[in-house]
Amino acid sequence: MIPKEVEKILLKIQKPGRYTGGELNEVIKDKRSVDVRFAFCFPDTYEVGMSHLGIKILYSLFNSKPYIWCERVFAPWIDMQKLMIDRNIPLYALESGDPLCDFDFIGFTLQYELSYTNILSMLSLGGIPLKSCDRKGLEHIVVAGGPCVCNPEPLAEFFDIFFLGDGEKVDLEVIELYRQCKRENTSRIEFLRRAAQISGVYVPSLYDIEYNDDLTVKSINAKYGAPKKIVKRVEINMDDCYYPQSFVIPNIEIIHDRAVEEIFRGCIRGCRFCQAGYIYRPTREKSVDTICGQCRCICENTGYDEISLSSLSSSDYTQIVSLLEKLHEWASKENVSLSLPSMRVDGFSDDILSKLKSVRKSGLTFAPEAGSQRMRDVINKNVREEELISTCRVAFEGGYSTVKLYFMIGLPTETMDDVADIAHLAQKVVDAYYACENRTKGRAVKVTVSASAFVPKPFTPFQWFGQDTIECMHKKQWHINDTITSRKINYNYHDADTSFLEAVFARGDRRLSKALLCAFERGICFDSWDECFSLSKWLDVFSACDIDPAFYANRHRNFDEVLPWDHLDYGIDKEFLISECQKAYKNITTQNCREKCAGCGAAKFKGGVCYEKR
Amino acid sequence: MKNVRVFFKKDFECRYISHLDLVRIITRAIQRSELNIWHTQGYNSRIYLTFSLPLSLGIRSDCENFDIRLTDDAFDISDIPDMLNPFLPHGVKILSVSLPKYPYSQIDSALYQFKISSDDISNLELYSLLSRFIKKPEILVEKKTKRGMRTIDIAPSITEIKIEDFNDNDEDVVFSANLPAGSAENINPFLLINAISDFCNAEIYADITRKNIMMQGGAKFE
Repeated sequence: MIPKEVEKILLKIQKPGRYTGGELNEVIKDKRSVDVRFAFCFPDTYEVGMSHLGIKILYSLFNSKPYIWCERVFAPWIDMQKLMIDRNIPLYALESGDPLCDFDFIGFTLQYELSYTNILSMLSLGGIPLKSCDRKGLEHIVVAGGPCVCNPEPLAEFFDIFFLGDGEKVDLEVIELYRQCKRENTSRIEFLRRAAQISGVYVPSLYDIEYNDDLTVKSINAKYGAPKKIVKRVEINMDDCYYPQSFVIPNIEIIHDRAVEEIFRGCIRGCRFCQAGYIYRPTREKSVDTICGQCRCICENTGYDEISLSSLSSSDYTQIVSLLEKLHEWASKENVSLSLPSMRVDGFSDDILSKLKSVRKSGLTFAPEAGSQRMRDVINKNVREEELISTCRVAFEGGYSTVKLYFMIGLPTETMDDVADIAHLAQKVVDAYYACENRTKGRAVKVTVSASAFVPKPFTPFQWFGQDTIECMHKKQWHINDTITSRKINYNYHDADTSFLEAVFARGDRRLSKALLCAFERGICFDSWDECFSLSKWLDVFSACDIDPAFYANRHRNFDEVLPWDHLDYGIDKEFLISECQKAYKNITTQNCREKCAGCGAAKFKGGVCYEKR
Repeated sequence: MKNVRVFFKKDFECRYISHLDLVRIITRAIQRSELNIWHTQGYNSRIYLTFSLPLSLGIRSDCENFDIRLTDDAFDISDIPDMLNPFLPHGVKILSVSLPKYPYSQIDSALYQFKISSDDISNLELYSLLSRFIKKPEILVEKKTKRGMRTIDIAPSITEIKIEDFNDNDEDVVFSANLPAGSAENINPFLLINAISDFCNAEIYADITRKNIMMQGGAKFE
């Protein structure tokens, strides 16, 4: 349903199909027949949001309950945003066309820090008071889930509730409590206090923060019976975990326009820079039968002819070969192609390759992350150069001639020599191609090197590390460029300015909400888009708010400092992270979860890899 | 093998889908249905699917059509609408299927219905201005061509322009017009709306529906 006023502007803007809804498999209900209306908001464009798996899972799950109607809301692009403001058109949900202020819950997914300003502009466009303390009555409960919730402090003033960990159960429990509170006609405050008693629920207004004179956090104090530590929720048995049978099929082309099947959650590797590798512990797999059944069902109900097996480091799935064999048997019959978006260099074999390329052949992407072996030991990316080269050889012999390599610069203890080794490694891949007897003749190899700036994240062993300054990053970026000699190597680097802002918010505290508000008032949004991002505008915002961004991004923190997220418990012991950090500085690696338990603490969730037979 | 012409409606939210996206939606529906379709024999094999007259973004239509080629000559083509409709969004609906009677080159014009209104002037004013507009001997519009912007006179090309009776100021002003369509000469209905907008000196909102596709002499394209 498109509101009448919106129809008048749709032909004045780019890609009006983003704003209309009306797709196959969208869920339309009678709003008078439901108790709870939930607006699922993704703080980026339609094409980005519709590609996200979490929204597909929760949209289906919520709508499977007759008393909930969950609808989708995306951030309007700047052209649409401007027209909506000029014409006083409120932000609406795609299914009903009703404005955000008609909803009981306004739920955001926090996928990346640079989407925070979009949250404020969406709330404001929807007519919702921005600050939690300005919202009254039992309506407009603004909630969030997703990875950035592991440090949601910069957003604490704007949200009523954060969900920690897997959302499948905790979201429904809170919605159920809301129904009950509505029946009992309780106050908003009473609802929030009762919600805080549910495991995995963080109500930021029930915590007071005290600061030291040096601006670090002194203490985090729970009040009104809220728990001192909030423990994340975990779906421990993935075979019983809810998974949708169909997806909304977009009418316009989106970023990832294909079926997705999640094969496991978590990662056994423990790469020290990787937040996902820690906050999703323990690793939990779906069985081969469950995966095959779900793949078939989704492809039948959506008509997609491509299915992507989603997880971190997919080749770590214990039965990857038998899974691919079984899927391949079905997929080749149905003309469905399989893709594994996340492959480790050492997990790549001829066996796997032959199952993937059967229908379409695209380039290969690997992430060695660092150029030198010493650096890879520091970050615990346990991949050796020989492994990368021999994997590339397998790929070249299999007919591939394009390889993408992802690296990071600005890692702890990194020297200019480590950085130059990125270029050297790429050169070795080029050489491996020409040394390969069975390569496709008459085709040149193309090696793309991408170097992004490292952002230290909470709940990783590098959470205390101060990010390299932008100047230092630039020097390193240029050093790689100067070291590359081959024209077969294509080099591009990620803008260090955005990584700096990301670092500020990733490990920020509540005082940053002032900066977010100020940025929103100055019209800053879509920071993750190059055409919108401006560091100088942000630096003006920080100085207007009397905030030093380097305090959050570039300062090395002490192990005994109270971190703004210390009251959140993702099952990883702080002592473990400290010991990992100390090992990193000594170039000592840690074995993966299947080789040897490192004792991170995630075993307390009583399942997954921690309880597998070794 | 036999070619089949499929007629469909494009309406509601789906009128904001571009032609390219529409092709993708229909391709996907055909793949999900159990129709046996002939695939092109090129390097990148795809289903054989052609459209007679792409529709501009934002316009509704009662008479869109595409051709497909079935591998089974004995197939009962009247089953096709029920086979495809479950896999299409509700704004795209297959209406009927028949064997192609005429080639695309015979297409000469299309009949459009316009429902217009404006926030700047009342509908009554709009109605009387429009009544004067259609009597103009010359309608100059700016048209984007391969060689840049050109000013052309569309008045001689527009036939059968007809305003419906107007009784109530709350209702949109409704008129219809026949515009050249096809590969030889084609006029986008929004060009006409722009000309009306300039003439009235007001911003006009137009809800446009393509009602019919015609051949030379006015016979319906089938």
